[in-house]
Amino acid sequence: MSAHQENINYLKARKGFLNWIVTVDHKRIGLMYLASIIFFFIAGGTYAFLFRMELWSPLQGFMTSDTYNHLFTMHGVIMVFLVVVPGIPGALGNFLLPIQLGAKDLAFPKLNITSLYLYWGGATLALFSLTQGRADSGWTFYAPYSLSQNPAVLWMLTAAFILGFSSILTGLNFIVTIHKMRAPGMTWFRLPLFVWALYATGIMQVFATPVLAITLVLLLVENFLHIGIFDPALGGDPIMMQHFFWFYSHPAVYIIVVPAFGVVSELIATFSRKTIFGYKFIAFSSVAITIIGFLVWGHHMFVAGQSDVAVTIFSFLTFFTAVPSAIKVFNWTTTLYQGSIKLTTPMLYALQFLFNFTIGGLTGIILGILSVDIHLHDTYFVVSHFHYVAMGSTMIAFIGGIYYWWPKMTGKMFNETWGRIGAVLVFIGFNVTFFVQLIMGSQGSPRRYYHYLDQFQIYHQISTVGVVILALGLFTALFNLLISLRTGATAPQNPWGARTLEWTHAATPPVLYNFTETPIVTEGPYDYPVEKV
Amino acid sequence: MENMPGHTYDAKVLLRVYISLLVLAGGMILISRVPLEAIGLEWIDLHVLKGLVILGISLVMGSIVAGFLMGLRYETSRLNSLVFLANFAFLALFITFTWADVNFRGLLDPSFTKQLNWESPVIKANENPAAEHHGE
Amino acid sequence: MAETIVPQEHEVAHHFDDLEQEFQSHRMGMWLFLASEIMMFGALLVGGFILMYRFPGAFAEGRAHLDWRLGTINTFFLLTSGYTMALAAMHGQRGNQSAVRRNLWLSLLFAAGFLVVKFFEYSAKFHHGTLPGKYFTAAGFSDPHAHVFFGFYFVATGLHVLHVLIGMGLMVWCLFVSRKVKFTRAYITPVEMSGLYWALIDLVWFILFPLLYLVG
Ligand SMILES: [Cu+2]
Repeated sequence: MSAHQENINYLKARKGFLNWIVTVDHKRIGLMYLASIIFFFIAGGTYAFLFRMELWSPLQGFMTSDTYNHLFTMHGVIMVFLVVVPGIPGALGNFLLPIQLGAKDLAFPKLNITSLYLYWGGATLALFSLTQGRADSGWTFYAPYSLSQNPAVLWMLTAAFILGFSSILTGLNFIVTIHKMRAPGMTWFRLPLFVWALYATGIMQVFATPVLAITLVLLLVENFLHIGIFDPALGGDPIMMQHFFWFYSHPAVYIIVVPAFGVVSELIATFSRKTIFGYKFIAFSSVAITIIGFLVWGHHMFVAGQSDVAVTIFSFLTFFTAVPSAIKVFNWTTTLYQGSIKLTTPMLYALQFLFNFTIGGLTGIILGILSVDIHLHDTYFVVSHFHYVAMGSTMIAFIGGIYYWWPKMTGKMFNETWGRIGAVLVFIGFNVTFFVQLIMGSQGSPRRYYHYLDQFQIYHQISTVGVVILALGLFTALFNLLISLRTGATAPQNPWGARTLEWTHAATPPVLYNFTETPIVTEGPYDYPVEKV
Repeated sequence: MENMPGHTYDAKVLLRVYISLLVLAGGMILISRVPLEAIGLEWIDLHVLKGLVILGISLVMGSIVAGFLMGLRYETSRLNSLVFLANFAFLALFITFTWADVNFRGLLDPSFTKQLNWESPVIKANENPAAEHHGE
Repeated sequence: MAETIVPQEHEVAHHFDDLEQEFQSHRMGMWLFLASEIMMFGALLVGGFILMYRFPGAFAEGRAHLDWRLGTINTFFLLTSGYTMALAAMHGQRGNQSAVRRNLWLSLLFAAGFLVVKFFEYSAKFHHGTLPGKYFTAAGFSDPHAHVFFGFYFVATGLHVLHVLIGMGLMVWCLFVSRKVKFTRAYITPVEMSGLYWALIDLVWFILFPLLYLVG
């Protein structure tokens, strides 16, 4: 390759559809992840939209109860395994991690495209399962219901297994890259907090996901060979299945939300134009969450028939998860204090995140209390709590991150006004949808019910109205970005005045190998000049 | 040899590792064949002791392989050793907490375990107890 | 023609600075991959230990039906192939291309021996009907959960055999690489990585063998 080609931007360096599909460039892989994830976010959202409409009335509306079960299963599987788990690491992480480290690429570029292929493979199988019947086990695949040999469920298990490997390989690649590929002068405490978050996420991806893999394998084997490990009819223990599942899936909640912590740290520091408060606390609290996250899985099984001893231990340990999360929230809030805050679109999403995550985190603590959980278990309170974390925190931070790095990725500026309108609509829509679910759940309305009591109808209707507003906001946000591709102004190298390498040293959009020469790092990622008061 | 990546493999060390692994594996098998009834000690559960000794030997074998064949012993950074040890820490937690569930079910409410049906409907046991018994 | 290819020295990939960085990155990546493999096998073994704890009788009875002599032969095969894999890496460092190939072939041979013995073990189980779950037809078992032991046996050893097959695939890959790339003291990455993977198969067997064949 000629020196000339190395210095033109990555979007133009090699042309043609095929060159995108077989690329090993982390930036293109990130963009392909982004496109795939937006596609599945719309698909999963459509499922949710449909069954929310059905829940407008307490009796049968326009779909049967079987369809309803199928729709919420598809919503769960798609949103968890195809959107939020791979989301921020796959799209933003792939694009930004090497640039923020000052590296030319991830440590294993071919492995990176392999994880994208595995993602596509798993996604294809998940879609294929639609032709094989109706998966209706919920995204948790609890035994013994998932052992009923429903072919759609079996294909879905296989899909989740493959997606798990995609996740492991991404995490592995990130950890090695962070350890081995940092530019000269890029010490551990000069890493942007987004990198720290991806590091913590990588640890969980590598250590927890294999347990999901073996769980799914055992479920498949149990379906075909009936070995008797999970199936109570053969002497197996269905609660063991839940132990296996949640040993992965509690850390998975942190795989989902920790990258969002990283994104929000970047947004808040940039748009407050201040050194982030308590850098080391934020960095280490990500790692602490990782460790604690492995100790608390049993809080999903308080009423499943787990022993009282285990239940007590798990409840006790669950409270500790609040500590690192609270440390982060306090540090972000303190960063805002006396900052010169700019309420740009990405910042609006970051502030929404702070609001939603506080609710999502605190409701989690409420659910960790043994006696309270007996009342709240399997109610809409849990649904709402989970959505405040996965949608209200992770997806909101994700969208904020997309807006923040959009100029860097595409070289185009978006329309700020429409961006803000979208952000406000999303905020209103999301909270209308899910705050009523907290109230409804605290009154005892069970989740996943098709027919519900008349007294909950008003809450369901408010929630459905909220979903419409939310959808409106999300599409506004999406179209604003897409339109900017055609009509947006050309983005300067550093439109936000940020201090991390992708803004200070890389062109917009970056060149093929990110930097024309390897940057030498001499200061921290948030060293903003102190303004005289 | 200063700037060469990794450590240099040494034929003598490899041979020693191989032989000690063979010896340990042999010892493990021999111990498992000791007829416990013939010893007949009352004050200790020999079955448990035997299990622990065998498990201990397999741990030693595992650390020899990880240290010498997989080269953890020669590394300048402890990182990969840490990864390896983290595995065992996580797995220890996994089995401890799961055991804390399985072992203590029905501790406060003994009627609870009676509600669980552990019976297997598939195997009709004792239909023909006198039939072939290999390997005994 | 294959014979005309002269092995070339390895070139550092574009995104790495030097051989050391490249080699250490690969080693660390492999260790993390092995970590995920260990978690996968480990979780399965956690399941196995819990089953053993719940059904000690079934495990003792099932174990008596496995032949420890076949297990011993397989232990010998795995240990020896692990040794020859390490020898292959050693000869790679010395630049002795043909000795590398010889040791890779030896490792393949012992791995195949392992599979042959496994084949006989499995076919004996099919013959006696000591199969998982509802396919369990063997007579003469007193414990009603004997099928659980064989279910676990087949899943655990099956997954292990799958890894043996992958490991053999890696050895074959190394044989191909050895025609194209010249191994030196500075570059043995394919052999080293395959050796690491093969050592993991040994490690898993060190637990599976006593758990299934010996203890009890
Ligand atoms: Cu949890």
